[in-house]
Amino acid sequence: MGADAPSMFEDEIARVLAAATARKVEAEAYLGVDRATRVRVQDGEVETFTLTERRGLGVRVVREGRVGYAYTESFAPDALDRAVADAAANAALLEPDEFAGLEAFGEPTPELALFNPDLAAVSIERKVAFALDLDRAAHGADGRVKTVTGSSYGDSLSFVRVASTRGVDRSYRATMGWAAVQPLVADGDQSKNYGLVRAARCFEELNPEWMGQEAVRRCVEKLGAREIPGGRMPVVFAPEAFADLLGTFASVFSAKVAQEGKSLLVGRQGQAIASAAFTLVDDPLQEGGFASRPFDDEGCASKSHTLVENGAFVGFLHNSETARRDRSTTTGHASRGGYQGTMRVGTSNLVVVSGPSSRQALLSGAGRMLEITEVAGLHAGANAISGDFSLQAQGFMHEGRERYPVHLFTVSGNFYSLLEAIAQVGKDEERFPSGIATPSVLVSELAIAGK
Amino acid sequence: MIERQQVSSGTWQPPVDPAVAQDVIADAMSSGADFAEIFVEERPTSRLMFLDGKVEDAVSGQSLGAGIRVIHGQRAVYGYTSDLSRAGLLAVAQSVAAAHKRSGQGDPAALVAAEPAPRLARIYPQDVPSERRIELALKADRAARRFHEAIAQVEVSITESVQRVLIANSEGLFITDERPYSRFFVQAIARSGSQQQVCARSPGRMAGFEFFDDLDVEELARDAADSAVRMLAADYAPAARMPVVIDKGFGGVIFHEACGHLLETTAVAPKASILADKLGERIAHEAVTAIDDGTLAGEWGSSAIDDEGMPTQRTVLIDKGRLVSYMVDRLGELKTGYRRTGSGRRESYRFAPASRMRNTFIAPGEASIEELIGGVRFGLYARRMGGGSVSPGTGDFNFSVREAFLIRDGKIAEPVRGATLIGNGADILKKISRVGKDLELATGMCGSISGTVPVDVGEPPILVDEITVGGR
Repeated sequence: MGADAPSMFEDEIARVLAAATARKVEAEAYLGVDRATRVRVQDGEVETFTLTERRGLGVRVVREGRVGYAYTESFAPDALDRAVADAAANAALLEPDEFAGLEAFGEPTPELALFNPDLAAVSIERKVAFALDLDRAAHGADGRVKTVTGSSYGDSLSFVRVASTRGVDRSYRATMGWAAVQPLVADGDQSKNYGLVRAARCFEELNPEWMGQEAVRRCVEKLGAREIPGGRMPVVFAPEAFADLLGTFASVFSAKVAQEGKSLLVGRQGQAIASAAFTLVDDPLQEGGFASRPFDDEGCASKSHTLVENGAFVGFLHNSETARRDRSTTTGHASRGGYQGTMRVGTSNLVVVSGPSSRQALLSGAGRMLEITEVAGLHAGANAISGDFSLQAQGFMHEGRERYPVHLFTVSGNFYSLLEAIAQVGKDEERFPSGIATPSVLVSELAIAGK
Repeated sequence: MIERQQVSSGTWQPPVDPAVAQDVIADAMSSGADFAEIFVEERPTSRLMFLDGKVEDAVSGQSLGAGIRVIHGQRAVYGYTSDLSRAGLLAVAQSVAAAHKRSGQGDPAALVAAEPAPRLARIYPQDVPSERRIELALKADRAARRFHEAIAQVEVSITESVQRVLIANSEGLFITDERPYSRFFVQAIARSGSQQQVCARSPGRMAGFEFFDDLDVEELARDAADSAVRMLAADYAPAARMPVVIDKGFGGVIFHEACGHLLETTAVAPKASILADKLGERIAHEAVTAIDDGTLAGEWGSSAIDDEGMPTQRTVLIDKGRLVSYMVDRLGELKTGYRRTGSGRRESYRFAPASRMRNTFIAPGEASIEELIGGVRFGLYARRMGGGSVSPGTGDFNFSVREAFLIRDGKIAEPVRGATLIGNGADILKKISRVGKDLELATGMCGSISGTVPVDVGEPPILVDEITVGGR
């Protein structure tokens, strides 16, 4: 990743918009470039070193209320022309929709510190040294470490530009660094692993010694895990587990999903959908947030939006089209998931607002309390349409002063019911690379299946 | 060195010619690498999505790029770019060369063009008017809605792509391959009061548009609708450990997660798999023979060559309970000494290859499904499965059941909603005690270190003596 600014791709953008104008269609070009490096260490040696540059241009064409898409990774003039032609041909397959269209977003966009020239200038030697230090720290943290896989450092420099025939033309650059390590520890017959991932906008914020030791500590504390009998019981989700669960169900807050008849929140605006302890905000302007951005994927300036306030559902996240359909205004959450995707609605930094209680207070609420620290299999065991989930989990049982690891159980329930059953929200907020930030959350009852 | 006109690849002219490939390989090896390889990919894709009986989104696109890999001993450096000009490729080759220096030979062999495999698509996507696809989608939409009044929404999508790859390496290989992918997806949502249940069917094949011509989309739509409606009325599955009969087809996901990933050298080489160093050992019940086969004609996970240019093969993994092979890619061979099995795969040029599954299944046994169910006093009959995941280091895995029935006194009883089934691979392989006779493969997408690749999972019906059912 070099520190030099990527080209603005003026010629490519101009060519696409001119081709659209020549065809008498409205068009929007979404250009994404991502330069990244990654160092992966195995057993004290660099295993893979990856240098990448990905770029692509997505075209959205609107013709008489019909929207069509195309993308290309080749920036050759004929490939750009073809993308416009393909998008126009695809638009012809749709029926006209009075709410389809491009908007001429003109309001100023906020200044966000997303680009860090120091991170972009970190030398290859320092990246390699980081990954080696991380691997060494994990190997040396405990005698029970059996293997360490995936000790990695990576960073990226991304560039996004949105420009349309309606006069929108906005761009930004962002840098991000990340590191990951996955130790495996063994004691007797039992093996435990944990993958620790941390992201940062500044190289110095990532600490290889701490990460290596912390990942091993989280493995070791799971050794000696017991199986537990099933039943219905209160559960404290640690921040990482709740973030994973929330991320899986975040689409229920999308107006796009709601208009497709796939969210059970339709018609519930203003009503209580969660316990009064629960407030949820999507904040694309969060300082240092990993999903912060000055504007959304159709160029609308970012702003914070409250989804749930003290349990009441305030309103869906919108892009301009879903907003027109609902006779509402866009919240600036248009998301196309990169140049290959189509315009939908997506979250940025999804934040569960902290409550008054410490994690200890949540855990000591009952005689016996199950703390879930990790859930697995979310892509299959959780369904955002029905809200049902049934997930493999790991964690700790708290009984008085005793705390012991537990494993090989599942936690099952329904996301909508879970929101209503939130008893307390902690104040131990953690931020994750996905942009989700949440403290621990106590849910009054969930079904557990164990031995 | 070969002349451009000698390279035969049907109608596809690779965007990188042999002279450039030769120079790229030479530059990539210039700092003393043992091996260098270039993987060039061109992939037109089109996707039509239908909702409310109308076209919701139409997208077409063109992916284009190249990945360059060099290997020094057991280390790899990988770089990729979408800039396929000679200058763009040489810049990446020089970067990967500069990232690691060694005093190796760095002397590549001259490229010799290999004969590409016969073309698999009879009808290419671009030769079919979109009206045909819209017709298919409408048929499916109507069939699902007519099936039951509770069907509130139907989503259909048709995704087609043709992946064309060129693989050239310092051993003189220069080979192309064309892989057409066609997939149909139909999802029915049933609603009643504040309840919604959903079921999808999504078959795919390595074939051109002819795949859709042979497909009964109405039957698929009715099948999805039937399941969604049934689950609306069903109670939740119980939370307990019990025997489970897992039906044929996508049920094979249990083997894919509980065992398959543990046999990839990606996990085996760093000893991050509980099945490392177990070759020749009895790891499963003797009823279990399992195969990973990349050669099955037209199957979703097949290909003539793997993404390192090696012909794919049929690899017996477990023979009557005994572990007989791992799945091995080039780096895996360098690290473990096991011979390559044509298992080097990647999602696209944006990923370095890794050892991956292709079409993985449990071989058929003798029993009928009635016999399997008949032997269970109280348990679960898992009819339709979702995906799953595994942690190879511990062997703990999960997979989801989407539609199930209780088994009472050897007979199928009331339907219950899906639940996640969990266990440990080492343990569960010994508990697959009976295997049925009716093998079926099913289409899936598998995500791992080298991206998301198409795979089949499969099995005949099987009986697992005991597994944790994560119901309520």
